[in-house]
Formats: sequence, structure tokens, C-alpha cells
Amino acid sequence: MEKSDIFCRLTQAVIDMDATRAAEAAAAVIQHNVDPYEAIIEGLAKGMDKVNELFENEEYFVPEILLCADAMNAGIDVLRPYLPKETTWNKKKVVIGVVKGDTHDIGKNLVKIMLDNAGFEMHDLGRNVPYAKFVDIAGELKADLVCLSTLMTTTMDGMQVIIEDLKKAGIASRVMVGGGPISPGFAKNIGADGYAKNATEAVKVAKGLFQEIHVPLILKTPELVSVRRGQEGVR
Amino acid sequence: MTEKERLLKVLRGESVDRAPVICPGGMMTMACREVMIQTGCRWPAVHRDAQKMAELSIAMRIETGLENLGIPFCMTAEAEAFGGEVEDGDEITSPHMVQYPLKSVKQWKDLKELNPHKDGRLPTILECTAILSRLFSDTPIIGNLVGPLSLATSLVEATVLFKALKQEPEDVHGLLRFLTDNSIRYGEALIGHGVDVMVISDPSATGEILGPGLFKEFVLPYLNRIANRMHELGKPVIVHICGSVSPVYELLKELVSECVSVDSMVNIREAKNVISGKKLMGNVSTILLQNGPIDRIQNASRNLLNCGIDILAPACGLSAKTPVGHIKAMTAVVKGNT
Repeated sequence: MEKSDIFCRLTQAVIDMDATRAAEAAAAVIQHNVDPYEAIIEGLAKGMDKVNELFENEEYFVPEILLCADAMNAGIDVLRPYLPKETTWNKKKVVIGVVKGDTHDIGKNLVKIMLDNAGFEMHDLGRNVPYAKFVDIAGELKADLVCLSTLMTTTMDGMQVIIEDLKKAGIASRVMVGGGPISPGFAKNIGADGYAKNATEAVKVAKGLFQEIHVPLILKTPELVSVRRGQEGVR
Repeated sequence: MTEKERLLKVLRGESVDRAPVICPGGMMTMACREVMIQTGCRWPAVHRDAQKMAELSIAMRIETGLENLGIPFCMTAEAEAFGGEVEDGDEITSPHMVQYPLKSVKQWKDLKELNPHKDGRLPTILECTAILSRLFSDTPIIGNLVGPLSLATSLVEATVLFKALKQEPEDVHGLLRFLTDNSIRYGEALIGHGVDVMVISDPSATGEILGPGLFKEFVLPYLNRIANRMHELGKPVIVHICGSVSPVYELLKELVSECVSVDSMVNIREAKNVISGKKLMGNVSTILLQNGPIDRIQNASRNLLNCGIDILAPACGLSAKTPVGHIKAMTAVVKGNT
């Protein structure tokens, strides 16, 4: 079987939300001595890129995204034991959670899935997380990024407390915020480094935070990202 | 014209002197810490005390100029009565779920039928409703139900439920039918205790999360069953949908409720055009209401009235930190006291 056929099967299985087919195609990767890392990038991740597109075009919604991510992970689970160890190094560490007072975690879970797929090392603190826990864990892990989410107006102020406490504790983690009631203006006011409107945007913003260039708080279009990449190339 | 007559007339499509201004309670919380301090009826004790719940809601109406009584102050009452574990929060944090009773959607068959007179805080809310209806005949008392799909996300992890929509649709329908039947029973009890208008809040059933296909299959029929039963009992219904509704605009026309309440990002002029034939409620940003300044709150309220909003209301639940003066600024615009 051609390498490109296997990659196509991986991509299509993710788009079709089919975990069984994704695992089968991943097994074919191993069977045919194809590079498992390449299979993830050229097969599974490509599928997820396409899924992001479908999400942005309002053809896919949250339930579809969750199942596509499951299919992708089913494929990765098969390939993981065959990955060379060094492909995992230098991942940026991200601590993520829903701020105390709120237990809506669907948005947080989506962001976690998307960042995980994009190559970040995710540490999920769950929902209804006390302020101090964000600070403690971020300090302990020397996290690169702390992601705070809330869906409720009543818990928004907790975000500011956490950002201030991180600074007081001398922790250098960047902070990205998001969730229903959060606006870019609010994010800026409380001293957040990034704001994301939804999960696909969170990936763009998070990636942007770790490029050595200025990233605007609002990134609405994929074009902006490519513009940024262009600038980076010039430097 | 009394506050109650005005609201009921608007919902019946009859002409009125001006738009009513309300905050329904339930998910759309109607409480401020300022008023809690003044009255000594403070969260979290209020949530489990019918008398205090009534006092806080009465004081909120008097202090802010809002034209209704709206209880409870959270959206966890039904989920708790079904066996979910709730943390009562503190003076500014409303009660919220900490433990879901179901691990999978299939387990819905283990849920017990609700007894509104016995389970969780439902009896407290019924008692409070009765107290309010004894005291007020001219102010509308609003009853609050959580929409079946949102209630389901309080009983089982949302990610589990959302995947099940695609993978185990029959089980999800089983769960939603069961929740709908029980919510109807609770709604009947609320009406029996004096509720004038029913609000069904379905924050998880947003078009943004589900898209039109799943919204039509898993949200519409169940909301309509509840609304139809409330109509049989002679009570009008308002349905609140969170988030952007643009993916499901066309489907909102199929709701049988008299009125749709929408979130702050929804453009009212556009929504009025698309969802014609339905009354629209909304949608003053609760962040603006909390932070002010007053002139921006009044401009936003005026703008909504100019766009033809039928009922002026906050777009979502009030933050308990919202200053009373800010809410008063909104209600004053409707009443022409600015």
C-alpha cells in the first residue's frame, strides 16, 4: 500500500469521526513500516485541520469536533509506542481549568483537545478550580501558559485575582483567557496576555504567544496567522 | 396598567403603553449583593430558605425597579433534585454542580421520577412562590425551568452527552423524554403555587454548540412539549437561548413559545426581522450592567427600545456584584425617568 493512501485513510477517518477506522489505518502505518510521526502530521493532524475548517464554516459543531478528536486520539494511541522519544521534547506546558464558581467545562475541554492536538503539553485542572491551585500548579510545573475559562459573569473577576497572584508569586507563565462573557477588552484590562473567542482561535493565539513577535489580542482570521508567519520569515 | 397586565399583554401580542423591564430569575439571576446586605437575606443561606428567598426577590424588585419577581437564584434546583451534588457557592457565586449523578447517558433509567413537593430545593421554591403570590397580585411572578438538554448537561458530563447525540441518539432521546416529563410536572406545581409566566432557559442548547441539525432533533421538540403544556394551563412561555443564535435563526420560528430571549451578541434589529411573529426579550449586556458607566447602560437600553425590543431585560444572569444603581439606570429608561 502506498504511504499516501494510508495518510488519506487516516485523514478521512478523523473527518468521518470514525475511531475504529483511524486505529486500523494507524495499524497499517506500522505494518508497512511508514514513519509514525509523519503519519500523525500528514494523516491525523491534516484531518483535524480539515475539521477545524468545517467548524469555522459552521458545517461541524461541538459534538462533531469531540468525535473527530476521539478518532484522532485512537490513531495516536496506536502509533505512540513507535514514536521516537525525542519527538515529544520541548513541548510548551499549558495549565488549563475552569475558574472556581463555574462548572461549565465544555469550552475548556475543547480548547484542551485542540491545544493537545497542536502539540502543547496539557495539564487539566478540571472545573470549579480554586484560584490558588492555578498558581500552585503553574509554579510547580513552570508552566509556559495558563488558560483560564469561565462561562459565567459571576466568576470573571476570579481571573484577575489569579493573574495578580501569579505575578505576586513571581511566576512567569503567560495567561490566556476565554469563555462566554469574556471580551478582548476585559482580557486586556485584567492583564491577560491573550484572549481567544473559541477553541480553534485558542490554538492560533497560543501559538502566537510563543513566537517572538507582537500578537494582537484579537485574531479573527486565518489570514492574520499567515501574515504573522510571513513576518517571521523576513526576520 | 399593572406590571402584570403589561407583561401578559405583551406576551399575548396586545398593545401596551410601553415595554416591560424584567429579570426572570433562575439562570437569569435576579440578585445583587448590595440588596443582600441591606436585607440580611444573603447568599448562600437564601437558596434553602423560602422566606428569605421571597424577601430578597421582593427587595430586588423595589430597589431596582425591575417589574417582576424571579426565583430561584441559580439553575441547579432540578439537577439537585435528581441527585446531582450542588455546592451552594458564596455571597457572589451562585450554586453550581460539582458532581453529576450519571456517568453515561444510558444510566438515565436509574433516575427517579421527581417529586416537586419532596425532592431537593423544589419544595422551598414552591413555598417561596406561594408566599410571593399571596403578597403580590399586580406583579408578575416568574417561574423558571431548565430546558431538557441543559438539564441533561447538569446530570451527565457535557462532553459525554454531546458525543452521545451522534453515537447513542436513542438513549439521549430516552433521557430527554424523561426529563421533559418531569420538568412538566415541576412546571405544573409552580403554576399551582402561583407562577404567572414560565421561563425555560436552555443555555447549553445554543446553536453555536449544536448547529441546526442537532438543535432541531434534540432541543425543539422537548422545549415545545413543555411550552404546550404550560399553554394548556393558561400560562405564557419565554425561552432563553444563550450565545449566538444565527445558526438556528430559522428554527427559532418553530418554537411555540410567545417570546424568545437572546444573549448580548444578538443583533435585535436583525433578530426581529428573522424571527418575526415572536416577541423578543433582551439583551442588555450583564458585563455592561456590572461595570457601567450609567450613561452607556442607558444608551444601550434606549437603543434596544428603538430597535423594537418587546421586553427589556439583562442578556443573561446578573452578576451579584452589579450595583443597584446600574440596574435602576436600565429600568428608568423604560419608565421615562431619565
